[in-house]
Amino acid sequence: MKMPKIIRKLYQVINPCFNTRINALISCVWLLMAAFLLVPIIKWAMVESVWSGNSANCSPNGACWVYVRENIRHLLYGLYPADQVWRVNVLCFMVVIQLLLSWLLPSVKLRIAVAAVLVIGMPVISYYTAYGGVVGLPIVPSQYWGGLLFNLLFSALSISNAFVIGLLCALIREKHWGLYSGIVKIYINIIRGLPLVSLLFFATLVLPYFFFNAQASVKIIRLFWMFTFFGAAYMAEAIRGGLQSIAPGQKEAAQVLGLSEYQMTLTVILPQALDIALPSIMNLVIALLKDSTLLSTVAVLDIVGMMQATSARVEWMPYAVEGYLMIGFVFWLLCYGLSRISDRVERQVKVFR
Amino acid sequence: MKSTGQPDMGKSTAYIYIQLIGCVMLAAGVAMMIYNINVNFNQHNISLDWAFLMQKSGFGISQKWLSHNSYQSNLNVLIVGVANTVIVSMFAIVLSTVLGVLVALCSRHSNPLIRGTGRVYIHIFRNVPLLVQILFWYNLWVLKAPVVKNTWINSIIAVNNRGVYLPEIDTAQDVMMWLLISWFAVIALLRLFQYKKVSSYHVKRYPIIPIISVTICVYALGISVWLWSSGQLISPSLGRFNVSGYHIYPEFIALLLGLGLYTAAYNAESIRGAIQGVSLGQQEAAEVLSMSPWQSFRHVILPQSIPGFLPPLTSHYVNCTKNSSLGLAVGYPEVFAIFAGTVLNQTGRAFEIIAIIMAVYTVLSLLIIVIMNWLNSKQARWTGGQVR
Repeated sequence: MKMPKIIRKLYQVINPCFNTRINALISCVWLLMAAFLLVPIIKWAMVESVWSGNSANCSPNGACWVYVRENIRHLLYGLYPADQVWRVNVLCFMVVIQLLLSWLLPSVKLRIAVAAVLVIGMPVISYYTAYGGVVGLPIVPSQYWGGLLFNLLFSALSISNAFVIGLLCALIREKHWGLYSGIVKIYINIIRGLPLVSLLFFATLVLPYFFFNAQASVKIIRLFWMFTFFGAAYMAEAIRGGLQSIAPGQKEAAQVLGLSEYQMTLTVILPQALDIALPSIMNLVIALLKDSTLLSTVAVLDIVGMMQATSARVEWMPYAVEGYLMIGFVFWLLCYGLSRISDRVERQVKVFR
Repeated sequence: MKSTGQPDMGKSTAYIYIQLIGCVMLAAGVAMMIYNINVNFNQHNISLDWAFLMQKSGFGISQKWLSHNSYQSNLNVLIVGVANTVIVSMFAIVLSTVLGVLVALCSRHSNPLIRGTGRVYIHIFRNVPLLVQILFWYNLWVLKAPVVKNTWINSIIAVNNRGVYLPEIDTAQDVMMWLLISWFAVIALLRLFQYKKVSSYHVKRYPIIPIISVTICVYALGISVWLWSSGQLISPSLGRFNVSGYHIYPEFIALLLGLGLYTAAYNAESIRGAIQGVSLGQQEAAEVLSMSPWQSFRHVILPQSIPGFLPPLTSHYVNCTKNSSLGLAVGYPEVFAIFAGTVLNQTGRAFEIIAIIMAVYTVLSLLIIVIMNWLNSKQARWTGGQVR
C-alpha cells in the first residue's frame, strides 16, 4: 500500500524517536519535560502577552511586547534626530550595496575596487555623513549616534578594515622580515591576551594622552580604530593558519615557474590560504559582530546601551527581559544567517577546488 | 634561488636598509608618543604615581571571597577583585566543561529529539552576544524571582530576587583548613603509590581522576553530615526585611550563568568536532572487539579525540576568563569592574590602573595556557593510555 507522502515523511521523523525501547523511554521523558518547561514559557510569551497599547496595558503575567514597539525608533537609531535619520539609512544602504557588489561582481578587479572603496573611503564618508557639517548637513554629535544600525555600520566598516590589516599583519609575520615581523608578533600577542573591554577603556581613557592634542581626538574614532586593531590581531592569526597549511610544493612550483615573490604571494599563496582560512574568518566576523555590543560599556548608546537607557524609565522598568530577548533574537538572526552564508560559500569553494 | 619559504633577503643591502628605516621609524614613533604623553601630562598637571595603591579605598565590596572593608587599601581591592575574577571564571570553566561534554554527547545521540536539543542549544547560545545573555539572566533574576516577602525557603537554601542564601558555617576556619590539607595529603599519598609493578613488563596504575572525585564526594558528605549533626551549620532564615545566611548575589549568578552557558556552547562544538574527527573505522573496530558503547567511547573514541579538542578548549577557557570582565555590566565586583571602574573613578589614575589591569589579564591568560599545555603533555596518562 502506498502511503501519502506527508505520512511517510512524518513516519521518517517520528520513527527514530521510538525505534528502540530505550529511545522510546527517552523521548517520553523529553516530551514530558518539554511540556512542563515550554507550556509556561509559551503562555507567557504568546497567550497572555500584550502586543498593542501602552505600558498601562501590560502585566507581569504576560510578555509586554509593546515595549519593543514603543521604543523601536530608539532601539534602531539611538538618539539620532528623527528628521535626520535618512542619513543613517542612506549609509546602511551604501554599505550593503558595496558588500553585495564586492561579493557578487563577476570581475575580480572590480570586486577589489569596490572593496577598496568600502575599506578606505567608507569610514570617512560615514563619519562625515553621520556627523554632518559638510554640504549643509546639520551637525549631529557622536553622543547621539546609536541603536542597532550603529552596531551594524560600525562592525561592517570595522571588520572590513580589520580584514585588510590582519591580512597585511599575517603576511608580514610569515615573511620573517626581522624588525617588522617582531613588531607585528608583539602586537598580535598583546591584543589577544587582553579582554576587549579593557582595550575599549584604554581607547577611551588613556589613548588621548598619546596624541599631540588630547582634546581634539574624537572618542568614537578612537574606539573604531581600537575595535579594528582588536579584530585585526585575531584576523591575522586566522589567516596565518591558512598560510601555514599550504604545501611547500606550491611555493616551489611557483618559484620554478619564475614568479617573483610578489606574484607568488598574490596569485598562488593567498587565494589558497584564504580559502582554507574562510571558516575561521567567518567565525571571527560573527564574533566581532557580537562583540560590537561591548561598546555599551564605554557609554556608547548602541543597541544594548539604548536598551538599558529605555528600560531605566519607570514605566518600562519591569519589562527589560522582553527587550533583551528581542535583542538576542535579532543578533541570533544575524549571526545564524551569516553562518549559513559562510557554510554555503565554503561548500562552493570546496567544489571549485 | 632558495627552495624554502624564507625570502632571499638575508644578505641584500635593500633588506638592511629597509630594516634600518623601520628602526628609525619605530624610534621616531616611540619618541613622539613619549613627547606627547609628557606634554599632555604637564598640561593637565599629572604624573605617574603609584601611591594611590596604598591609600584607603573608602568603599565596601558586596560579593567577596577575601575580606575587605572601606578602611583597607586600594591594593586590597585589587587582590579581592582578582580573587573574584578567578572564582567566577573557575566556576564558569567547570560549568562550561561539564555542560559542554553533555551537549556534545547529546548532539551526537541517536534519538532525534535529544540530538535536536543539543544542536539548538549550540545554535542559540553561540549566536547571541554574551553581554546580552548576561544582562538577560540578571534582569530575569531580579525581575522574575520572588520578592523578599515571598522568599522560597527551606533549611538548605533560600531564593529570592536578591540572590541565593546558603547555610552559614559557624565553626573555626582552621578546622576547615586542616580538612582541606588532609584531603591534599590523601591525594598526594595516592599519587606517590600510584604505580604498582605487576611484572617487569606491566605497570599497574590506580585511576587518579575517579579517586579524586570519590574522595571529594566522601569528604564533602562527611563534613556536611558532621557540621549538620553538631549544629554548626546555620540554615538561612527569613527575617522581617531580609534573609540571613551565606549570600550569593544575583550579579554573580548572572555572570556565572552567562559565561558558563556561552562557553559551554563553544566547548560542545569543539568536542563534537573532535569526536567526529575520529575515524569511523575505530568505532567499528571497537564494536568488532565486542566493546560496549561506553567502553568504546571511554577507551577508543575519547583518548583519540582529546588531542583534537584540548587546544580549542584552552582558548575557550582563556576567552572565558577574559570575558569575565563583563561583570562590569551587571556590577559583579571582579577585578575589571571594581578596579578599572570604582577605583579609577575615585582616584582618576587611568594610566596606572589600565596598565595593572592589562598585566593582570595577561598573567591570568598565561596561567591558563601553561596549565592546559601541561595537561596536554600529560594527556596520555590522564586518559588511561599506556604508562611510559
